[in-house]
Amino acid sequence: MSDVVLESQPDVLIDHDRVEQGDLRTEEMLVNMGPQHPSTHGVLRIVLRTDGEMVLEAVPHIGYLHRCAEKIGEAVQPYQYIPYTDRMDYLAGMNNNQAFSIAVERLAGMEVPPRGQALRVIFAELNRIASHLVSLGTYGLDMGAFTPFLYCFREREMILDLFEAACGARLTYSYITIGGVHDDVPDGWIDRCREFLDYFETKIDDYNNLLSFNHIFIKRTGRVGVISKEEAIAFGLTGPPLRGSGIRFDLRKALPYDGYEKYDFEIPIAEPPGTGVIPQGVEVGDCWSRYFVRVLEMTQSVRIMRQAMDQLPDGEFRAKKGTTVKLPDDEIYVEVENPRGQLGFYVRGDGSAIPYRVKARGPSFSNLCITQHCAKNVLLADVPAIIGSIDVVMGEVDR
Amino acid sequence: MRATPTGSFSGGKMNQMSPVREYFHNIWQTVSTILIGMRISLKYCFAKTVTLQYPDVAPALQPRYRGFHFYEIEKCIACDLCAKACPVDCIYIEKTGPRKLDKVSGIAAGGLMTRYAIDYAKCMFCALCVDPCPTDCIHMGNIHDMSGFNRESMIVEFTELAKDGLQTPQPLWMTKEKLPEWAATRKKEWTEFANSNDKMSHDREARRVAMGDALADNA
Repeated sequence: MSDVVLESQPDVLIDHDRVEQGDLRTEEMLVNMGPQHPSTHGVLRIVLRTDGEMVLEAVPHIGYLHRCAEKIGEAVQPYQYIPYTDRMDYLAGMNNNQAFSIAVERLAGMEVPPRGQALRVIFAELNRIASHLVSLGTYGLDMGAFTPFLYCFREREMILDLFEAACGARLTYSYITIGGVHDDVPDGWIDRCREFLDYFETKIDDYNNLLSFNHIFIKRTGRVGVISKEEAIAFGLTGPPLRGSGIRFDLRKALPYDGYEKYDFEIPIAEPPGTGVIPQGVEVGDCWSRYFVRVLEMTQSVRIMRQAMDQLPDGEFRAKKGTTVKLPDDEIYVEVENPRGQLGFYVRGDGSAIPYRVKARGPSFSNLCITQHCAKNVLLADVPAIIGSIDVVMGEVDR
Repeated sequence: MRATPTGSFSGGKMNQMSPVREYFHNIWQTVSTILIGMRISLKYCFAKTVTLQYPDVAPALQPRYRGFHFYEIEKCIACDLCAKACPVDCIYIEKTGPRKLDKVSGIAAGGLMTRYAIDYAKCMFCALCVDPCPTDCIHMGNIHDMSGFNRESMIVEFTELAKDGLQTPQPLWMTKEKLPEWAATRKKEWTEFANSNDKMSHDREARRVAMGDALADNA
């Protein structure tokens, strides 16, 4: 508030730039955006310091969805904690289950059978597509495009039907558990999944024509909220926001888990305009690039799933000693690639079956930190564009 | 510090254009890309609708669907394994003595099952109670829509249901023929409650008077 000119103190600060331009001075105003604002993706509250249509500062306030998820981890056994991890990032339950399972398995020295690993990859990638579909659809909704949202959710419903057939739930799966997966896939599920992928690949062009290359959408998101490579690293961004700034880093390639090294895939990053299909009017690190990285990632997920289904081995899908595991007096920190970035779990055992400490590193939480930095001196309508492109899930920010 | 929008209104190729040309270029781009999108939408105007008219059309649930529990009391040996596996401790079991499963008939005998209840206000349908059951007496059913008017009604007493020969709770819509009768009794109860003299906290006027008295006493 240092540049507010008070009439009673004429000698404090005069913004000479404005005086010269003959700009009309308006009073700065604090505006609460959220926690029930439709474009904040959950209970995110952002306090905006505005000057007319300009946002001088946007400070995110969190904590409206805190459910003590980490503390609960110290009271229940790891296999009982799996349903709680579903509810952290509720759009990518499978990936959260996978992250916690891998942490416990590595701590207890447990081997996952090959079929279990392949099924995990299939479900994690399927959930990545579902999560990106929500991200795409709601981002279009924030920018005023209603149609892509309906198409994205139509495809997501099909994925949820596949999940329901395999594990019986549509949102809180608890399918990937300690030692493998909970059930084997039902008969004919793989064929259904292949059918869906054939159908889905044709739909990605639809999303691009409807939303990605729409001129209004490019105008709203291109060159808005630009994050440079250095800033992305300094703020600890992971996932699509990091790759949207042009850094090729993905844990599936860098530190493969669950047999990701067996599959052939690429890591899409943001490219400067003019290369390939990238239109004019955007630049590396802006909202549009972060959005488009997700579209490209969906194609790669389809590729991984096809390979995993072709190579799907027979045999056990879950390690014999699955449920109650005795955790050694040791600690472990494991990170996996979530649709939103790197989800890490720190587990400390004390020789009993119940962990001494469970800590989660949520990608949304770290990615949200950049809001304050890059939503500075932007137009009011750009704030939803920036927040939507970072794609936060408040259940994971607050845990 | 002067505030300028970082999201610029033109850039790249358009920087070289004259403002007039850029203006018309933007209009042309907008209209043409919207038309591309409209063509996709138009295609779906004639396609079959995918929206399900719930609740008139019931959703097709998959066989593995995890809904309200399906509990077979005659097989249950009240071993407490499901209650121990439950992460939220929502299963309550009481018995008079040890029960044992007869391998031939598949019916448990011994002590009496006095209570088997699940608090659905707590339950999160994770199906962890199904895995450890040694006699396979608890499963996840396919009923997903049930509601109650208070927290007590969320606790389903499976032992009471078993007396009526039921193995799973019945939502209201399943007993539809009784609905008008049920609604009439409920309305009568509410009218009686609203017109009764001991309205307690519901009587605003009395509360206001009491509050005024209290304030006067303090002053």
